[in-house]
Amino acid sequence: MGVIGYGLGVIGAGIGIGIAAYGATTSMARQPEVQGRLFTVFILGSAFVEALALIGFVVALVVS
Amino acid sequence: MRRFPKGAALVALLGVLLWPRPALAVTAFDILIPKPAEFFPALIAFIVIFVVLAKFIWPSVLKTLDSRQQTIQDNIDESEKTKLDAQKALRKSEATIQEAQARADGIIAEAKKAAEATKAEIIDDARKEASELTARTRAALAAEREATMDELTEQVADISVDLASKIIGESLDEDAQKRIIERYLAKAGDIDES
Amino acid sequence: MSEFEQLPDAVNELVDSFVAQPIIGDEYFGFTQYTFWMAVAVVILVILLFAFKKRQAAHLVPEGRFVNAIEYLVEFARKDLVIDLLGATWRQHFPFIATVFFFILINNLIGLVPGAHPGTGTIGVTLALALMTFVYFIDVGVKKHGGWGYLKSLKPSGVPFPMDWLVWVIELFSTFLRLITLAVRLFCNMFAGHVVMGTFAILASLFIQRLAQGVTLEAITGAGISLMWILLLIIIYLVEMLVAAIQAYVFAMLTGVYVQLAEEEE
Repeated sequence: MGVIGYGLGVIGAGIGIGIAAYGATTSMARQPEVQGRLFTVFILGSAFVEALALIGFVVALVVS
Repeated sequence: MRRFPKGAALVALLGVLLWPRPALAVTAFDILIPKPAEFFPALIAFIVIFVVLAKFIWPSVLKTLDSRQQTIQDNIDESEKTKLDAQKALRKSEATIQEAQARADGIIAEAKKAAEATKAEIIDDARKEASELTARTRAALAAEREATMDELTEQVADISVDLASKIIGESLDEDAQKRIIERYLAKAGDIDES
Repeated sequence: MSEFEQLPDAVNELVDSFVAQPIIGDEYFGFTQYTFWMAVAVVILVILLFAFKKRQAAHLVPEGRFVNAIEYLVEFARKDLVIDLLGATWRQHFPFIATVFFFILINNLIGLVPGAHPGTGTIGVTLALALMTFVYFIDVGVKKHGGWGYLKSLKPSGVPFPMDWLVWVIELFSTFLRLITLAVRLFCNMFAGHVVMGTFAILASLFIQRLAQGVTLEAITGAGISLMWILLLIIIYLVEMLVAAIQAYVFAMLTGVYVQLAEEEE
């Protein structure tokens, strides 16, 4: 059960990081000169989303 | 920027469980409960590190970075100033050159004018002298001619008398002689006048 | 394949070994493996920074790879973490934010050494760090606005009466939540990364064990599968290096953001 719960939780994380990557690529395509700054913001946003996914992973691991 | 993190409910649940409390049995959430044996050493270690770094390391590191930035800025400012000075000096030297050029041109023009004037003067003088010379020469020539004419006339008279006396002998009387002489004189005078 | 049946037990054993166990003493007053590695990381950090300070003061222009590398990190902390976020008051907050950044970075990096545990891989340590950050930015806010004034500043301005107190409650809650999210984010990233690496290592070793029973076709395929797990392990290892740096950056940047929020005029 824990593993299924974790799997469901990661759906949200995947969508979140996908949206972040989408925003990053379209913005880089529109304005290539701010590529560095955009990449940093993308990594930052992904770190926040990934933290939530990892919380789920740890909880699933612990409850087993 | 105010954020309201998603999943706050889950994290709140974890928060309630994270509060340090004595471990009863090994529960499933064991790893999520902070253990005082790690919590306090970590706290002390961090405070010690913070004090050590803030007192000894960061001031000198920041000072070096700042002084480097300041040196670069000073160098840039100095080179800017040098460039401005060089430009000013260049402009000044150009102005001086132009002034010198103008003055040289003026001097040359003046010299030319003076030379022209002198030339004209000399030519005038020469011309005057030449005309005077011509006049004098003519007068001299005229005088010479007169003298020559007089001499010539005398000689012609003598020669004609000789000739006449030789040709005619002594057959002429005084009147005939006088008439012949006047006639020849008149003719000589014509020649003289022609 | 029978290895996958042995897997859950092996992983449970692995996770149990990751639970902080005291080497000396007990849970209240002792020395766990994470504390040991944290002490190692702290000592290395102090040595590195003092060596850096000595070598940097020698020349005006940085020479040599070591000075340049550490200076890159210091410049990064100075510019991206402090100056860009804080503006005018950056000099007084720089020591704290830079210390947090370097402390977490060195702890995370030491954990990458095979066989070592990151000092931040346990909730006790990350909670201590998050608590320091929490206390620091509350202190900054209180110094700026006064005690009650800081609490009042959490209210958004320009919102009519009943709404703004409601939002105030939510903002208060989220401010206290920052403590928990900081601690849990860092802990989970470090812990989960090592568990995943450990799992792949276990899988690789389980499949290699077939060779112990003699060189048969099964053993060769087992060796091939092991190789695949090892490749994945290497990839995860590289990702973990990235995650170590990113998590240190995120923690320090969030500290800077919270300080900036506490210092805001409205």
